[in-house]
Amino acid sequence: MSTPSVSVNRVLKLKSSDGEIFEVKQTVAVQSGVLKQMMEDGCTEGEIPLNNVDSPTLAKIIEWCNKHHDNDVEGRVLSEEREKEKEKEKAADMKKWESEFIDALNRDEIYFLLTGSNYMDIKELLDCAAQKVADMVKGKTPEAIREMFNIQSDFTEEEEEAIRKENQWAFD
Amino acid sequence: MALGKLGEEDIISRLSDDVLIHILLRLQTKDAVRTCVLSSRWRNLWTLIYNFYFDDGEDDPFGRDPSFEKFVDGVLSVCQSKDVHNFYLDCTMISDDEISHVVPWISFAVEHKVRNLNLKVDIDRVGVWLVRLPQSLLTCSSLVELTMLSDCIFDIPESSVVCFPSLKIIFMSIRSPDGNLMKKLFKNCPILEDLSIHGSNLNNEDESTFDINVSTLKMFRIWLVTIDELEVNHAMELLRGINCTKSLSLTAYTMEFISLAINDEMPTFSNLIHLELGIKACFGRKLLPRFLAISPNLEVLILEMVSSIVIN
Repeated sequence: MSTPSVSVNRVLKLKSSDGEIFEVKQTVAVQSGVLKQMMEDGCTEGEIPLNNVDSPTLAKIIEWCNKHHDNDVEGRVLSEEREKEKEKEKAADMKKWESEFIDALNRDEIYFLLTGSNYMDIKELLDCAAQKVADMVKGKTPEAIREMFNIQSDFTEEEEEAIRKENQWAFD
Repeated sequence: MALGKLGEEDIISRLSDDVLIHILLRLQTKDAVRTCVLSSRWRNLWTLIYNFYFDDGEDDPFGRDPSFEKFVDGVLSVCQSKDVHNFYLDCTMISDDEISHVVPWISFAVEHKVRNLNLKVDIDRVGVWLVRLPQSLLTCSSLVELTMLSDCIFDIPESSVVCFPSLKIIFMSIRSPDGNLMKKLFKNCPILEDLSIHGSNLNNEDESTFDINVSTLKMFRIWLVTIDELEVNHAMELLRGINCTKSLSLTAYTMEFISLAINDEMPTFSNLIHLELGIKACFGRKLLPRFLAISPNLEVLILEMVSSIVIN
């Protein structure tokens, strides 16, 4: 089947890794590549276990998807030529909402969101969370990055020196 | 598992390769490569990136990166990705030797099926510098978006075949947009939707005459700086050429120009729905009624009032 049989009123029951059940409209759930595929294959009866996503993270993911779904629906009604300005404004509002959504999360929440959005294949959310971490990393020295993320180097001093030498053009 | 209790652990390194690469893809390539010393988990991850952002730091307060060419050559020789999505090159070339690197870099991107190619190549010397675009680029079937911001002259040999079957967006900002180059570039873009041209230093009529005939075009932006008042004829000609557009936006500067031709016959824009005009007090009052008269189906009018400052 090439098009998913998505109904506005039907809901999916998602089960987080810690056993909590979340109900999500099918029209919202299609933002997840994995759930969309399951709908296409007709295997969304009963609870869908998401073993890699805990309940606080799943709640965040659903909040994101609901917000983007509502925006899409409104966008469709307004898509006439003369409404382009409003669309631009809405896109700017959404960007603002997205950055507030991501900025409100602590470091660990972002990591779980990255894992969850990658596992559920929600591209826009993965992009947004990855950009947040990239913004934290950019322009920093390896030492500063290690400190920020508690990364323990398992290289000896000599090994690290050798790697720097091998890629010297990046450290000049 | 409650969130926020892992604060002291290195959980970023526990993310999958996929996710870490998503993060590295969004960094300047130099920052991405430097992650190789973080720990053994990170050692070779950067070699899987498929977006490249090379910047020689010319605008940096610390000055231009002297080993820039070595760096780009080094990265491209180690990188393992078969496909390149974004390839950005922002550099100021000082010697002929450095200029000679640019073409192989472009060829690398094309061989790796680049989708978005962004070339900003400036030459730090007076004179005319030709960068001959490689034939492989001119028939690049993967290219969707092409940006050229340069003060060197890109050259396409007379006998070259030019065909961009996937190209949708072109943004060009070059010192002297050359009519010949434009003609060759736009000849064979069957799905081009969005075209922007910035240019200054238009020297003579031959060089600044473009013939753009792309039926799929949805958005066309043009900024040309000229001091020659005769160019006003070209502005009117351009307006006639795009009179089937649904949306039109003219800056206050352009309006000033058009006002010089206030007595010329203006084309009718029968499809025009959305009009944005930059208005300086003295020109706008004359021109606005004329624009309204030639736009019978207008639905949206946006005026940007620009104040003229008078200095005694």
